[in-house]
Amino acid sequence: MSATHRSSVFEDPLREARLAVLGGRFQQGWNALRTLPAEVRGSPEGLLLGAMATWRLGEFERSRTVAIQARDGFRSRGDTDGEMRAENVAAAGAFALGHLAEAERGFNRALSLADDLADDLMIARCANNLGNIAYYLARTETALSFYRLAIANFEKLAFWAGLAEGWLNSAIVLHDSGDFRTSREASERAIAAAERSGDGRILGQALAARSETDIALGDLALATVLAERALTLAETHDHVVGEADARRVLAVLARHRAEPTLALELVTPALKIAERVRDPWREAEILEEIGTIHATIGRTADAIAAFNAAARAFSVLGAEVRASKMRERSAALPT
Amino acid sequence: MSGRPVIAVIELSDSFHRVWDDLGQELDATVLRADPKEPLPADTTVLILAGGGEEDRALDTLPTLQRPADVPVYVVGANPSHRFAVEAVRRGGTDYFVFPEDLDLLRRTVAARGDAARERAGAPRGDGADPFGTIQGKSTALHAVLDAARRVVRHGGVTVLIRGETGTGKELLARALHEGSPRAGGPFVAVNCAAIPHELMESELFGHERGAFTDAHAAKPGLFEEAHRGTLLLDEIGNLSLHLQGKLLRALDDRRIRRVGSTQSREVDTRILAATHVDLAGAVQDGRFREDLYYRLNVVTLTLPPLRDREEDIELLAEHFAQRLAARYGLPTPPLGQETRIALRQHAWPGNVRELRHAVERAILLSDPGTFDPRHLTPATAPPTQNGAIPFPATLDEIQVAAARAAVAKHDGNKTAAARQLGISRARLQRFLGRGGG
Repeated sequence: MSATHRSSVFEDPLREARLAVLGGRFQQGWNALRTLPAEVRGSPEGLLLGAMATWRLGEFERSRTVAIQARDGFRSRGDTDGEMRAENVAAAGAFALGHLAEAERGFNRALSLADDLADDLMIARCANNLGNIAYYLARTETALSFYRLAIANFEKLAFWAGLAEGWLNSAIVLHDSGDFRTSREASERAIAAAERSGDGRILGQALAARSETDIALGDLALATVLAERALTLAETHDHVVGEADARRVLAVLARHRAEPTLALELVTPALKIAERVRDPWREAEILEEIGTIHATIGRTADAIAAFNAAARAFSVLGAEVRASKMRERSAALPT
Repeated sequence: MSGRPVIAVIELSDSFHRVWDDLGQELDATVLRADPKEPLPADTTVLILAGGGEEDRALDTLPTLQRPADVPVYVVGANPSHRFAVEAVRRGGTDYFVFPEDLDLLRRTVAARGDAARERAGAPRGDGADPFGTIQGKSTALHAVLDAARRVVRHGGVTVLIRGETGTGKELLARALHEGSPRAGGPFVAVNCAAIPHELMESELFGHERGAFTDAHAAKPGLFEEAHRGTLLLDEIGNLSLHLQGKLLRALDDRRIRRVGSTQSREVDTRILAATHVDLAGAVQDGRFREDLYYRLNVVTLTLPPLRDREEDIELLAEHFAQRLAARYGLPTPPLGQETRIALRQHAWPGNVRELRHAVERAILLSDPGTFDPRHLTPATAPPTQNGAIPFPATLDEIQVAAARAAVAKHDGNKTAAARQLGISRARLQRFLGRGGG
């Protein structure tokens, strides 16, 4: 131990890094961690903070590796709470890298630990993530079941933003499974919870989801107003992912109104956003829409290219059912 | 002392102005604006010092506040710097919250203080607010149900069966029964039994252990456990399989559940509310619902009337929704004109309150701001064959044509199946389709 960092029960060398990371200032937290001596930085909590910061900074591989080290450190100390939190971050790293099977195992372990510890918030978060994985793997009922568990726990905690996310995810899955009326109900619940949370970003996403359901139910006029509001909210809150969602939905609407040029104008910036934030799922969904627009106006080669690109993006995430659907759509077009 | 918490707010800017009244409403608390130069009222529960871009002034104000020592001061600002947070606490703040990220946390913190204040005053949680205040209406039919509900609300353990058509507000009533009960501090969990496949339902309700079945990669608590010390609403309970009905009955009798794949049972203290839109007594007679469970659930039955039997509530509800939804979308509340009122009264509202709410929302969003155009109550451009919607307002002729088109669309163009669904001959269906033109 270095003389300058002699610790006592009164010292807390990780304090600055912890405050920064938990306060959402990830770069600052990561910088603070790197100035600490190796034995502090390499403690289970130091590693966990590092994993959390690097995940938010987009360094998923490093985050996963460090989180696994943190998990093992906590486990060897018998610190179940720390082990659970580190397992969750390690799984989030695997998820971001598209290693769905590993992420699923990790979130499942974290969920079991959270269940043992009766940690409602961690149960909710793990269940939400497991729902997302099940959705990617086209296991609709499993996804909905996990979202129900997440919703029950977020509601218990009066954590409205989490609750809104749970309902929003349910709405998306229900929409994809063709249950539009239940999807609309779920998106309405998401909107109500988002309103209570005061989080304009998730409110915008919930409005976009509701708009998409109204398109499926044939109410294009209402869907347009909702999607426009979603875009405004996303722009107001600098929420690029929300902007990508809203633009894609507005493009779908333009396609329905037989305005393919406008549809392409709307969806192209959305694709750029998805690429920039390295979100393969959004990228794939946007590419699917681009393929559909091209197919509508007879640009077969462009449509095939877009569907194939969408298939590759879905494959990156292990979402093989969606990928094969894209390949089928591509193959069905005349070459 | 009423026990109602008092939230004093000092606003140094108006950035978060609307938030405080909403917070007061949510927490059933009194919100009052305080002057930083004056002593706080004696019954203040918490003080919120809202900086909102005036953080430096907030820091200067903190040491000058005249407040009792046991009143916490929550400083709220937009500055995420931890240095600022530390300084705020050093100068006498109890905690610092960044907006909007920490709104939930602030809400929970203030709620906990409010509950503690109520407890000290000897008042039950939520006292003072009518738990049924969220259910709008003045009709005799509705009030008969609410009067009955008020009589049972304080009995936190009693099992209630709520009947009513889809969209009549069964979950809203269940939630009010929970909120008004001594269990209000516990969770309220609602599950729609019709939305869950039979093979998953047992694990959904009772949870499972790891390895209990192929996809059980981890232990998962069930919704019964999630509602421990609270209320579990089993909506569309008529959809439960006979096997699960037996398990539910045992759980109700023993107050213990066993996760799928577990050898051990767990104690649960969960109140059950059940809801259905079907005639459960009929299901008992047909052997689809266990008689013993029916009588166990049917301790008190509350039947919500359909909206068509609450004619005098339709306009009131429409006005209520118009006000709420206009606020949601930042629009002026529109007055309902005579034409709108006539259109609202003429419709049968088969989807009940939920349908009315959708219709009002649509009209508000599509009409010019501050106006309510009844033509926007339902989609005019969407053909009924696309979404199964019946045009509204409409003549009987139009409704028949729309129903015929919707049925054909539902059966992918199979007119024989569509006719069977409608209970008419194929030839008659063909006549309806022919009438519609286009």
